Amino acid sequence: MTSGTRQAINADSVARHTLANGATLLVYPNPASPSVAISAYHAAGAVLETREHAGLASLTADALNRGTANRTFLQFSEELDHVGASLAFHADTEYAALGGRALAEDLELLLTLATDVLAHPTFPDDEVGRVREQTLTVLAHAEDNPGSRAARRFRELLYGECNPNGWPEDGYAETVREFEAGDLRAFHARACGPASLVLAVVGAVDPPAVRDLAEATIGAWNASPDAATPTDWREALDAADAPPAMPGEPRREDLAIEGKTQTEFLLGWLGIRRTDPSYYATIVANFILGQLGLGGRIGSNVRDTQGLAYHASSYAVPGLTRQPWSIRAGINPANVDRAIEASLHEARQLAETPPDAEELRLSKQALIGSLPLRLERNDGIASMLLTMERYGLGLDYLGAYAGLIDAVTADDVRDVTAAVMSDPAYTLVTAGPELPTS
Amino acid sequence: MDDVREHALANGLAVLTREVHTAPIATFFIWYRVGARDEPQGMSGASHWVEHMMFKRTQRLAPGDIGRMVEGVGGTFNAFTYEDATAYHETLPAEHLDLALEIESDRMLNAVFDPDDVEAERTVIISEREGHEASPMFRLMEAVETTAFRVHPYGHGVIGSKADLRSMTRDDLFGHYQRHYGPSNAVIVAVGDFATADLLNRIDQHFGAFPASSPQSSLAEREPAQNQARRVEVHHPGPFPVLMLCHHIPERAHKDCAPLLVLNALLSGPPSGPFGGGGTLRTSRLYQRFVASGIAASVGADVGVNIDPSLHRVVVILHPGGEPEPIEAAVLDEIQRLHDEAPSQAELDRVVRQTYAKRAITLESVTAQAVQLGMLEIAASWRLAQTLTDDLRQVTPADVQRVARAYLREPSRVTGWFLPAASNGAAA
Repeated sequence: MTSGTRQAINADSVARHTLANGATLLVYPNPASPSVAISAYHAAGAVLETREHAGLASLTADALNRGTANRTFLQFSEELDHVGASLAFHADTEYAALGGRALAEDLELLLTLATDVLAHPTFPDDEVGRVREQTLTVLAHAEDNPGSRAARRFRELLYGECNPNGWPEDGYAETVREFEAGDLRAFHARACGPASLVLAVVGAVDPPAVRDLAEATIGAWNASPDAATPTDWREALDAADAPPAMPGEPRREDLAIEGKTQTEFLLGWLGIRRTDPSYYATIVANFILGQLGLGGRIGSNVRDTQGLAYHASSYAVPGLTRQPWSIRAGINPANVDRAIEASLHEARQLAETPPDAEELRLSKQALIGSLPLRLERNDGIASMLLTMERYGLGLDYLGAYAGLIDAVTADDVRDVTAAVMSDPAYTLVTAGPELPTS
Repeated sequence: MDDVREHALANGLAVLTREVHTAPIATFFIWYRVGARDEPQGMSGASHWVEHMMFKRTQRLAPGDIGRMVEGVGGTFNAFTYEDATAYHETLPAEHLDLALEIESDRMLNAVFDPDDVEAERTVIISEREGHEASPMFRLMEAVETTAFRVHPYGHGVIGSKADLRSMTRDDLFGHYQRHYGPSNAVIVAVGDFATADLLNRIDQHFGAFPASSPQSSLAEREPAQNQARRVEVHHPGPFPVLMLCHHIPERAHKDCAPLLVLNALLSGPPSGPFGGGGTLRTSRLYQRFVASGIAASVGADVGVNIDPSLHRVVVILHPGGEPEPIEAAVLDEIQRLHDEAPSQAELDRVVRQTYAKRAITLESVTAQAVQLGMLEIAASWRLAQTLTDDLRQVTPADVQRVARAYLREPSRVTGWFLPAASNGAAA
């Protein structure tokens, strides 16, 4: 039998501390597991790159651990692999991030390596070349895969090509191919700094000891004097949040990919920010529309009733900027138009008529009741702590969460759906085999 | 993984439980010993299709009810089918664990297989297959399995051929369900925040009255030894070449499985995941040879965890336009190295340390624990989950060299290539 005392996650149990260099540390001790998880984000996302350099933030994050002033990539990997630990880096449109796992006794190693990589990367030419080639292979795969191809084009159409939300996080083959190590060094010097960094540490740890350790490692990282400030990043984010030009009528593109048998489609609208007060009504509405059971109302119609698809569902993406609320499905090419019509029908239905009491109750209870499942693992808790910090939710957010969801009414659900999905100017991209002429 | 308790009901239903009180949740799995290996000619994909039908109608439940019941209390649910088994699972807030017992005891015997539901699901499953067909890896794996297994049903894949999916009838599927679903052919695995004695009582209340089902003898015929290397190429539009280089290996219960897992850890990484696989470590031999050097985009290797003899696989994804021949030669060179040189004891010690740490992290979730216990119980014995790290510790350098020579040898090799081509089959 395994047991351990685990406290509720709130302002009493999570230690929050500002390190000497301005970075924020969050620590939650979980004695129930022998492991530790670290997670962090900082303001080095694609909002700080230009369209001509699409993918630079992502490639910089991917190449960050490929050599530092103190260790080669192989040495970095050997130190981690020796103890079965892992440490990975990534960048999305808004932020760059890192995530690490280890036995709790190896936390110092994780923080030492994370600091070395963030503060002293050298971006060796040969290593950058290899990461660039790997990225080009990933991009070739994305071009060949109907789901990825549709998703990439959907964002371009929705946001336009001049908005970092509109270009893929990992860029385009034609931009990535041109990146040299010097581009990565310059981006790192400009975009990476501790002032915006938030680090969460969760596991079998002692918070005061973690604080000392973090001060000695991450806390000792000083940014380049030319680094972008949090204000610069905020301005870039605001620019990316500027409303894109809307065409006033539906847009559709059908992309043909040789050798495929199934069509993937992505149909959607510009949604709301995670910080919008209607966020909780939106996630309840999305759950009803495209999640409950096997794909909510859309799954029920497209998959269960009509038998048209293996997967059909909807997603409301959270973000500091307005992100898509979309419907996606994989369909035999002969049935694409029927599935699109069915999806639009379900969206319009929810935008016009509030859900019945039972459907609303089930969806709210699903969102509330699943919270413990999301907090089972140390990395799940660390991720939740970062979400709370990123969106300014406060350390007592989890205690308030059930009330926030419970307060959503049937009319709220209809209204938030109508505010987004009653706009006739949806954006639709299909990708797969050549579609039959309709 | 200690503290697992084993029980059996009078009707043959096996039960494994493990109390974990670190979070207020519990997971409930039921594994049926039916998968691709139990499908007769013309019924490839039947087990997976039956799995889909179990979310439709029972005498009590209508389509969508299971989702509403489980998600209505914040739980998650799903199912999966593979070569040896079909598993259904619910992970729930612990106080709602009875819901899983209600659902699983109902559909063990009472699924209806309404003809209209069967027809609607036929297109859903064909759609699932067509989704897989977008992946070069799926096309290659299917070709390699067909080439490797000429007699054994591991050669026909889990999702089934399109021809069989088009022709199977409602009665074929219902017969498959009736033959294989029953207490004597199932294993319950529950992990989480419950009291074992209490849970066993409730399991007995829900399942204890079912009559023992007659044990099914497997259709799976032993694959004759392969005495000559085989090769298959898939020419299809795609982004890059992929190599899948396989060798026949014994079943999971075989004593040579532990040294093979160590061998695979040297090539790729320790067996850390719930399914027994694990990611590729950057210090592994294959990563260093192929990815760190820049000659390929990614590489991995895995050992089949199966009831019957299966495959050891090395998979290399090349960069677009990459030359196949030098890659294949380099994989063979790494295999030859395993034949020629026994690894050092330090390398083996490292594998044990990595396995311990990776498993401690991966098995943090009750769901991952239940998957590992169930999968090993189906393939051999759940006790292997307890002894895995110790079993690996017993492996000597000479053992690794011996199994490399015994199994990773030329006559038992199956080499598969996915090669990008224009739709007419010409090289792209």
